[in-house]
Amino acid sequence: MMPDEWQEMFEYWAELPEYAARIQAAENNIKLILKTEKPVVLYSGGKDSLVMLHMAMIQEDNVPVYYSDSGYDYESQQIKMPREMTNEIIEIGKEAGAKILYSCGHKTPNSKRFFGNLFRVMKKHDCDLELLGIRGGESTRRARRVKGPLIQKDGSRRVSFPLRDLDWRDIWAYLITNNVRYLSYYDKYAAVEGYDKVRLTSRFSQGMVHKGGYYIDCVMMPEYRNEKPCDWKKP
Amino acid sequence: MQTIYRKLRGYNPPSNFQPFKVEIKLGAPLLLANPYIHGDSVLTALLMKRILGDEYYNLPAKSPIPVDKILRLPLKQTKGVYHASVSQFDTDVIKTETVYKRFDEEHLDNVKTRITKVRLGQGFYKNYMMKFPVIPTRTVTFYYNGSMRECENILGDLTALGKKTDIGYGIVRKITFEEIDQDCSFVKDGQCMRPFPAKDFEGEYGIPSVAQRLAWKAPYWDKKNIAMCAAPGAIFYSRSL
Repeated sequence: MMPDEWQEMFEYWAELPEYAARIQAAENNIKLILKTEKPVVLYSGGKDSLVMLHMAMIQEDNVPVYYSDSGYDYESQQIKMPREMTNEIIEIGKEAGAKILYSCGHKTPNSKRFFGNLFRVMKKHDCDLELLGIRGGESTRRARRVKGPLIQKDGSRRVSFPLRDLDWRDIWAYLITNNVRYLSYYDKYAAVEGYDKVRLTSRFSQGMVHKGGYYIDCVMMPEYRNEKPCDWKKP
Repeated sequence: MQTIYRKLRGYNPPSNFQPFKVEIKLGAPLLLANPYIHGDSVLTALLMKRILGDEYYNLPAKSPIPVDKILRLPLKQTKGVYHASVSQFDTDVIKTETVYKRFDEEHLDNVKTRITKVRLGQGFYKNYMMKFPVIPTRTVTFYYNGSMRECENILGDLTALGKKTDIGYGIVRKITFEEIDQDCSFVKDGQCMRPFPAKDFEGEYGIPSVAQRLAWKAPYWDKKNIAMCAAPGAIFYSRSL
């Protein structure tokens, strides 16, 4: 559960005209894309992609949604996404309105299958555009990435970032005011990191040590630290 | 390597055991990469430092020494598990702290060296930024069952607990020892106090409410020591329930 003071703050934030304008712009972006293109929504279970999914599903619920979890990394012998979290993410995606939700990775854990499965889904539904919930405010690198036209070329892929101008407070305000269920992980980790810093990434990531990924996970979810795929089969 | 083995084997701990409690007062918050510190690992590290001296810092990491087989701690053992609880903190709060390491360029002119280039992107002088979980506890409590006098002697070397102790985190102010009547190193008030193989102790304590894959003997970072264990904090149920 989100603490009352945070909830109140996001409710106040949602009353600002700037918030309404940014949300309107994001919704217009999605509307335009749905009108002119055949997109696939890339959903990670994170708060940004959840907002994008919710916005897209309100307008058109027949858009395919693609989710891929990082599963288990055999190289580092470390679980990257606990099964309970994967199940919760899929449940939340369905609650947000996703009718055609493809979930890849959790049955056969392999993080390298992301693009192979994505392209297969896109081919099946004749999609030619990927909708990504990346925001410019997340980092300078992402700010550079989302700059430019609404639909961009990324190598052979066509991508779009409809939420690019939203703030982290806009995202939370949207989730709170629209009563969208989000991953319980956020409330657990926000107590340690704060709602401004909390983000969903692969668990126990050595590459995210500078953001506390590995060490914080070791303290916050020790039950998954040594979990193996063979444990997933157990009831 | 033979010298190391001989030195460690040469340590003969006393065998008069009694349950006792160790309370460590801290002067600064604790940085951890685990939810708890294992009581026997603290003793093992300090004892090895004392026995091996500078050789302690040159031990093989890829194929760790089987410490449990060659070094005996002054603690009671049951089925290979030492009677030492994990750390008990006086708070449940967890915060985060960012630690920066930067190469000190300010005093470079005082250093007489022929080195003209220092790599800051890799190696010993690499700059880094790391975020750690912080536990703002004032006291850390351990429960042991062993030779209190010997443990008092070994823990006398303890200056700090946790990570990044070189910059002041987890500094120890005072250590107090107290004899207790009951052995609380395995179970206290029905709660599990340290990881131990759940199956091996099912007869004594019952079935734990939480079983996890955890290391149950030192070195706790070695994945070979992982087994399905009763997790600290778990409650035990009898099989009939």
